Amino acid sequence: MNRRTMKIWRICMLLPMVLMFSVYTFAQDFQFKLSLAEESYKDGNYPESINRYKSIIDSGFSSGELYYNLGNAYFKNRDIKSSILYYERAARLLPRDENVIFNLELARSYTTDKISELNPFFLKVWIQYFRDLLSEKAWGIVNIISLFITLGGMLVFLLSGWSDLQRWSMFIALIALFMFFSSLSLGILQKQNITRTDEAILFSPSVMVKSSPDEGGSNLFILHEGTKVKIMDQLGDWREIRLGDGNKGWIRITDLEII
Amino acid sequence: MFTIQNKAHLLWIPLILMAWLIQPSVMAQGVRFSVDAPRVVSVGEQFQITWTLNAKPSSDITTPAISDFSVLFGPSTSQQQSYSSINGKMTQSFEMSYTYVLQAHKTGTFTVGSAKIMVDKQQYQSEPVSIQVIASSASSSPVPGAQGQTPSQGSAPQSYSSNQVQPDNDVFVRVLTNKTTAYPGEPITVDIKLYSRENIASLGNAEFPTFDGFFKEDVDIPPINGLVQENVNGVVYGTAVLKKFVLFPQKSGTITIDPFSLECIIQRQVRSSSRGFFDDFFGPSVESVSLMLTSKPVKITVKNIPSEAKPGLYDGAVGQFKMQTSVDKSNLQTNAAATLKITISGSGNIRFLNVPKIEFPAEMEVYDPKSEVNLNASGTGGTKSFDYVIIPRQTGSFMIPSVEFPYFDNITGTYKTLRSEPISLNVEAGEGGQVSIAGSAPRESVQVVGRDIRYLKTGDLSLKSIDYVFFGSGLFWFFNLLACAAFAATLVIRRNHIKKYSNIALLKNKRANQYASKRLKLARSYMIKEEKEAFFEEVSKAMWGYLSDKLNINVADLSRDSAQNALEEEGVEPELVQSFLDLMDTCEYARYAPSSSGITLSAVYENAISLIGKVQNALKNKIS
Repeated sequence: MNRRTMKIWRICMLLPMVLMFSVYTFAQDFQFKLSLAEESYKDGNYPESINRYKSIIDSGFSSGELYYNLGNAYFKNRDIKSSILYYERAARLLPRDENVIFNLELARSYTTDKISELNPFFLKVWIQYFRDLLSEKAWGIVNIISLFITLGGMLVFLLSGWSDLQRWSMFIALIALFMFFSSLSLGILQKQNITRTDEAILFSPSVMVKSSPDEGGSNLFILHEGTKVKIMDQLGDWREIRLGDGNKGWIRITDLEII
Repeated sequence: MFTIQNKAHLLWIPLILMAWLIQPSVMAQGVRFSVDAPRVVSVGEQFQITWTLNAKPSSDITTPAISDFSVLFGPSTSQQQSYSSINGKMTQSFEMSYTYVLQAHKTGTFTVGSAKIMVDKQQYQSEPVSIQVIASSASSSPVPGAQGQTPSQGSAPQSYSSNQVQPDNDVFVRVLTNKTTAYPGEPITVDIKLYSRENIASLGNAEFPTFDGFFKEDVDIPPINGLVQENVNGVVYGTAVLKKFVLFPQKSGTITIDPFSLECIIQRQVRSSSRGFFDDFFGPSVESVSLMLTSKPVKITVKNIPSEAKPGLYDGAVGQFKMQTSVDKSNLQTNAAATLKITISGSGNIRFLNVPKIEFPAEMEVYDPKSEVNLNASGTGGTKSFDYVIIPRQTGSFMIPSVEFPYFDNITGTYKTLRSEPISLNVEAGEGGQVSIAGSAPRESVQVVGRDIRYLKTGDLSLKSIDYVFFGSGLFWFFNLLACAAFAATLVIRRNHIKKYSNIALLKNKRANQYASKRLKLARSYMIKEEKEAFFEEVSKAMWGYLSDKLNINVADLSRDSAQNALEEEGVEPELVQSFLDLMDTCEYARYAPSSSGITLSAVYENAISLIGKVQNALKNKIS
């Protein structure tokens, strides 16, 4: 081995270490910021706590837990609409988290509009149930593992001459194949769910919902801040929204905050 | 006529007797010895100073030396005595007054010392008075108050003039506030004051400001009894506070208090060109003039209470406060009521204070508090108390946590919070009612006391890049492709190996019959030539070679036992294997002992062909 290749080897060995170290200091920095935000929350200084959590999000990092904590700080600061927004964001990343669901329900009970949700189609409920069993990351890992098992089982089936082993490997491969396709589809659904931009929280104190996307449209109903709406269509800076009870109308994008 | 007079004399006797009897009760009422003098006079003005005693003196008055003023007249004494009978009870009042008429000569503030008098062998002293003397103004009209007249008293002939006279500098009203800037809720004292240099006959309709933007509270003032001298820009006016209010601003911004207007009838001397005899005799003739007095509007700037650093429990209290909490008893019995009293005192919007929030232990029954407001005379402060009635239902020791009362201090402009000490209560079992003791108590469902959000998630919050989604990411596809590649690679490598391996075996299998039949053909030619040794060698080779090819075992590795095992493993019948092997043994034997008899070449040849065919069939069946 000559000196040149030695040098390349050294760089190759050092690079991951440098990377790991920088990731570590990154994590340390965040841990410090998080503890400061938590401290402010404990002291009842909620605006300071909000600022600290938001500074972490502004630096490009987030998690469901972080959104949840920020929602809590907003709630304590009596900013219900913002707390609902962040609880909704947390609920997407942590679909089964009991605390997130509880706090979101509590925050919703403080909003003015009480909307009775229509009963969704049972199949949709089932699919959502299965989708929310795992996070997108977990679905991805399940997908990879099941692919490995499927292909491994197929290999054993194809290459072994022993008939009992062949039968079992075929069986396992088929189950894994089923898992592969279900995790693939549920993972795609989950990814769509967390990256969707067609749901929003109303941020204006009260908004008149119009029948058409212009100021001249006739007034349909009044919504108040904190209400969750689904965006169905858009035209300029107007958005067609639908409520949980099926009512539809047009409002301006400036009245909304996308989840 | 005479008789009547006589009878009148007789009537006096019981009256005098009664007066003598009542005498001690008058004494018991308390002696008051007071002095009355104007506070402000101008140079050259005549004024009175009067000492008044409400009892019969036992000595003469000792007046102080009056050096700063010249005494024009005095002392003049006057006595007043009155009897009254109320519900058959006789009372007598006695008043004695000593009056000097003085004149001031120089400006400044002068003090007239205290006078002394003896009543019933006891000495009484009056308060000293200070009198301010100011330079005289151009107008020398007498100040009505100086004569001690009440405005409504007028003895001169009256002639009302129908035309209203514009108010001038001699009579005006003012709306006076003690501050012009305030925070919402901060009390502002408002005096409505009348200033006059004229004789006031009577006051007419008054129109008070509406005080929009304020909460108004009336303050009780004593009835107007004479005017009080006051110096306004060097002019002495008789003044009277007509009305007093305390205002609490309700909103921020600049609020204007509407003008106050008052109809006032004054008396003026009529200056007639011909002063007749009667004028001098009856005094100057006086005309009544009706004036409409209007005050200037007053502007109050109401500042915003800062919203930053506002305590969470803040509930609108503005001022300076103190708080006290107390429980009437700290050792309680179950089902017996106790009272928690919170008293907030100080200056500010006392009346509007809300009850501070208290977290009572859930085991206690608490009734809505009863509140009581006591304002002081000025209306800007006082105390407000809240009484909570609590009835403990469980035994044990409980803690009423500290009560927090945040307020806005309008002087420092900051929020302050009062905190009381926590109160510990010890509850013992009382009579009546059920007392539950821990352990034997019937289980209760958890009482929901309040609703609050769940607490923060702590520790590592597993932060990741905001747009990062693992599913469908490069890493995800990398792993999936890795799985496929590994599968394909393994399959290809294994397949090639198998192919190579299986090709040789197949070839050999196919060749086996050819080789065997070739050798058997050769053997047949030897059989015809009767070359026994060569014949057996070929048959033996044909059979061994056949097995080697068919079973895919090297000839070198092939033995009688391994061949037998291999054949039986392939499922060939043992008898067939045995006869096959027997024939091979026979051939081996015959090769090395050719002379042995009893073995015909043709029989061996036929046997070999049939056995190879049978094994061929057996192996074929197995494969298919």
